[in-house]
Amino acid sequence: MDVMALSALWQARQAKVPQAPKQRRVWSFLLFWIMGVDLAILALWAGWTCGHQVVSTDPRLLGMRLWRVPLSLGLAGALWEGGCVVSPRPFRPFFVRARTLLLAELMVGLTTPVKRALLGLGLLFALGLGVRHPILAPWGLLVAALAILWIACLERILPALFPSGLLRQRVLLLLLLAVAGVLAGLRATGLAAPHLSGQRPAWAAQMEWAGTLPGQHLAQGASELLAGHREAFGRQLEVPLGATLLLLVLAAWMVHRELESGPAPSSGLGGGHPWVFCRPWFGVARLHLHHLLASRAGQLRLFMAFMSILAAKEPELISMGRLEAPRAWVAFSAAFVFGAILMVPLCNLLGMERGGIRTHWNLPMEDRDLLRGMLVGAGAYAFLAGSLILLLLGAVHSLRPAELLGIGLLLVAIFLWCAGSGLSHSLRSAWGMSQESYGIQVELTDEKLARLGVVITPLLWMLPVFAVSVILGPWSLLSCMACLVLISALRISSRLDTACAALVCERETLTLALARAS
Amino acid sequence: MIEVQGLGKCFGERWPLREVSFSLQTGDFVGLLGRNGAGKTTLLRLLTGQLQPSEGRASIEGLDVSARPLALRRLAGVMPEEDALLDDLTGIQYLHFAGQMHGLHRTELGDRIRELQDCLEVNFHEPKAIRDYSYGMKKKLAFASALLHGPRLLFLDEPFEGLDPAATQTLMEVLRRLHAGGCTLVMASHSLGLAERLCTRFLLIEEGRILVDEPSTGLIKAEGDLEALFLRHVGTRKAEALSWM
Repeated sequence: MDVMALSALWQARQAKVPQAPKQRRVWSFLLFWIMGVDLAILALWAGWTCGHQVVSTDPRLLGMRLWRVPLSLGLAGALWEGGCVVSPRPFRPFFVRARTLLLAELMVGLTTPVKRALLGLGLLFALGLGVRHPILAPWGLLVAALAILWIACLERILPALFPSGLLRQRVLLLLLLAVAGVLAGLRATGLAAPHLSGQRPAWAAQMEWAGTLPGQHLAQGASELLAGHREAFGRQLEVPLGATLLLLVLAAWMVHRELESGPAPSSGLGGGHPWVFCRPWFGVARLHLHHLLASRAGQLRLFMAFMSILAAKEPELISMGRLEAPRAWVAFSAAFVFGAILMVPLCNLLGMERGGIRTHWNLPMEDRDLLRGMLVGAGAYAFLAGSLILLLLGAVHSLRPAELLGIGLLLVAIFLWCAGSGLSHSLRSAWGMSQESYGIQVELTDEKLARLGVVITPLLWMLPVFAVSVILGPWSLLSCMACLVLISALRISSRLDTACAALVCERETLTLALARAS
Repeated sequence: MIEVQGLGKCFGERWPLREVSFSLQTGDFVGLLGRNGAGKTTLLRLLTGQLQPSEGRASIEGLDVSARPLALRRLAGVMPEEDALLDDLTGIQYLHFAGQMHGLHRTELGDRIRELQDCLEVNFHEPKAIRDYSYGMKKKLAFASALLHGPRLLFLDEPFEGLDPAATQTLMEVLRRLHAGGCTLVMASHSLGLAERLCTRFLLIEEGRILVDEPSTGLIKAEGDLEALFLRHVGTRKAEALSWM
């Protein structure tokens, strides 16, 4: 992650909270990093050991760590609006004295991008698993995905159930205390059981770890899968999937009830609206995708996907032996064409709005929502382009699933990386793009060179990584690509914060630049 | 409701607005008058947070406008100028987008759009991009989108420009009803006759400064009509004969 961007992000956060003494802030910053690195190592280690069939070494520990995250969600919200999900400012009065922010900041560091953190940990865990036993990698990812889904559902259910912030924080606190009490009791029973009866019953171990349900399922599921007991593995899936389904239904019902209960509250679509398709950024994303797909230039760019076949075909004829270099060349052409398709949409994110950008300025929507929506819209467009490229290359070159997945992840990483750089370029040098125009301009200016740089730079360093990982084997390819995606995702997240700050200064220039038709 | 103190904006060396101060009460219907380029639109853009002031401060209901708080954008409706619409969308798509951003439920939004269409005698459901709309249609669409969320404060930039007489009457009636309902309105307009019939207060701007800030009743009584007042303060240039005519 860009250190400067992180520092800016940290300062922005600090600006929004009552300032703790400097020494304390330094300590919390250090602790935040130590905890972060600790979690990352733990996730990798857990995956590795689990993959090594040392299931008893306890990947469940990871489950414990993961499930501490939602418990501390409230603290995040105590510090700044929008950072928290479950409740706006729940636990501060209980745990944190007004200026004692050490604990809070520590937890904030872990919980703010809670879903991102979970996804990152899940990916690392899956990496660890995948290196040892490739078949376990998707299982690790599934558990991480379920954990994220659970939290997402809780985010929606709790505010809908308890609209009052105070009521919500009290109920949540009681709920957590009750759960903690039950778990402590269960664990104590599990530990005490062998001493009481003289032998350890089978259920005792389960009770001992009843508090780490996802971890437990992860461990047991992995064991079953490794042992080849697919039926038992399926049974392990039933509980988390069933619970997820239940939570989803409950969340959907809550939201439906809220939406049907009349017009939205006068506060409009604040960041806390409980349903993703009602969030402002989702509306912007849909609008942006519509713009891209409806514009002639956007349609024409999608056709460029066919160029990837031509670009990849020629070197295929020159076999380079068993190092599978031609495969890497296929990936290169996919990445190159993908970058070419996305160059303009990512380097001029707001270009399709032209003078209409003033509409956005007048609507109740945060700058962050606008930029995030634009990125998500461009992401959906990139997904279409990437799918088309993969489909074509897969059909023409008979790529193996692992290679297709590897190239897919490479494209995701390229998109995320270019989107991060394109974001600042979009604010610095925007221009109004016409929907009717094909957007073909031949003259080469500094601006266009800069745009080219946005796309070429990630290609320059990502593709060698790709080529090396292809040579090493499909699983290291996937591992490397997943790492690239993770790094790029972290980068784009920090870039978004920087861009929001830049937008405050650049708004007028940007508006004028966009209003000038191309 | 609106407090403006020493507000100014410069673009490079040019100051289209300088040291503007006034305060407006809830329920005022204010007409912003002035020549082309006098600074009316700049003032509206500053008040709606689209521009950052170079000097001074403006607040609405105690909220600093330059910070662009969400609460303010929920409170106010803005009828932007013609080129500020997302013109690749159709009218109905645009209204749906604006309504969704204001958090209106789909059913409620549909009902409001229907009412607005009836009221303004237009059909936004036509499968036609906004860029292909007539000037008047664009004005009506901009007006409709400003009203969608039921704002208590409305900023209007040349609302009558390009409207036919029937549409002008309809719009006037809507504005009157909004005003009677307690809505605060700030309208930049060149249509002095219409402004005279609607506004309760006038701000006359010339070269970026406020020349007149008076309630309409006393002002009209003293000056006879708004046009006389306008010409007296702003003056008029003698039309010279064209050399080739």
